[in-house]
Amino acid sequence: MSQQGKRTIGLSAQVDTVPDETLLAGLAVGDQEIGVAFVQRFQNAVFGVALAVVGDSGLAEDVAQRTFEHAWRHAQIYDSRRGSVRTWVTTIARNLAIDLIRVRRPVSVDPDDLGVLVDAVRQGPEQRAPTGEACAELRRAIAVLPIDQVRAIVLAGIYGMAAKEVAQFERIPLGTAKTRIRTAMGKLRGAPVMKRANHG
Amino acid sequence: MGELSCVEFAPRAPELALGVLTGTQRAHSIAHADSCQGCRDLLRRYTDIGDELLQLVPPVDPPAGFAQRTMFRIGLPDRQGRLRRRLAVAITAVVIAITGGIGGVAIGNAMHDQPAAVPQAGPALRQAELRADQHKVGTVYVYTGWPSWLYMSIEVPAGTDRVSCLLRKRDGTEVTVGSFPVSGDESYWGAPSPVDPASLVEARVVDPQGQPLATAAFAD
Repeated sequence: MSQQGKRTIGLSAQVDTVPDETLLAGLAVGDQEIGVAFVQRFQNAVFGVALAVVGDSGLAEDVAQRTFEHAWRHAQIYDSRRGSVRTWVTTIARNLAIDLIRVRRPVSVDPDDLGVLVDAVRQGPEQRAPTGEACAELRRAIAVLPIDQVRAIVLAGIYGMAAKEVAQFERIPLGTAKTRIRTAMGKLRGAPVMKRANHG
Repeated sequence: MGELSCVEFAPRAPELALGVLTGTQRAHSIAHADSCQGCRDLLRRYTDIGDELLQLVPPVDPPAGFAQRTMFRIGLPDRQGRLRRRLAVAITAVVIAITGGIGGVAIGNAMHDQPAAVPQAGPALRQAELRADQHKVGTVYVYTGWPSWLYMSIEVPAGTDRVSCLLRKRDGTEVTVGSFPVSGDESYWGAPSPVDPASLVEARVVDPQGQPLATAAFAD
């Protein structure tokens, strides 16, 4: 790919073979072509997380755009030792989405949306395109958890609810909410997790 | 509430890792993890689970044109003057970050922070200045992970519309990476690296007649 004019960009190989970190570096220096490739590589994951949390397509797009803007502005703080680029941007999206819903309205989750999301994270790998071996292992581990524990870690881990909010939402004692979160996470500790996965 | 013990920290670690522990509980938990490698490892394990949990959220196609609207929002391309200098600083910092040059430990997962990291060897981004006539004219980055990748920014003399990049190895042999179009303004180019990044000592950029335009020497 190349672009003649004031700026000239060339990629001698398919952009989908470029490592995530290299795309991030290109975004940071303002390379538009690389920047578009970066957004296109992660937009589905970022938008999916944003939509899951805020529940509105318009708000989700705003969150997703701000996520990439944040990635562009703060690329210098990305540390590959702490996780993959994909993990980094989806975490940014999750945190921005949580910030948004806390500001705009009391934290609340549509029970139907929660049910859909819980089913999605529990679906076995044979029913869903694998996102990576470690994700498949985690999904299998989640699939055998009691449903109330899965709901608890989804409410906390994706929606960002504190134990008190989980308790209010599920209409259970605070201690029960804490126990469900801790027990579920304790069981998942045994699941293999792919760390700092590179693109490919 | 005084300092936490490891026994007290352990049950709080899942909530801390998910970023939903608040107030003094969070503060004391972070303080303990900061001082205890074992609990920091435990926290890291839970944080990894939280990170992977996000990867299970179904991806969703954004509305058509999302990438273009996002780039417009970011303001690319607008690489004049101030922005170019700011980005030059940013990319240097990116290189430092990716090569693990940032020290210190930051624990926390809720608000844009990442939990404490146990330093580990991993892919890095080597960097070298491209110089011509003792002036910096660009930068070469080499990603040492797999697949290895070469990425370059360069300014070339007016009238030059195409250049080639060659890599010299420690054993003295030279490998041609490829050629790419350029203009008088800053150009960018990326390609898979055909050499082991660890053996790379120099990158040369030459014009179509083979005349040298710029050279980058990689430090050991």
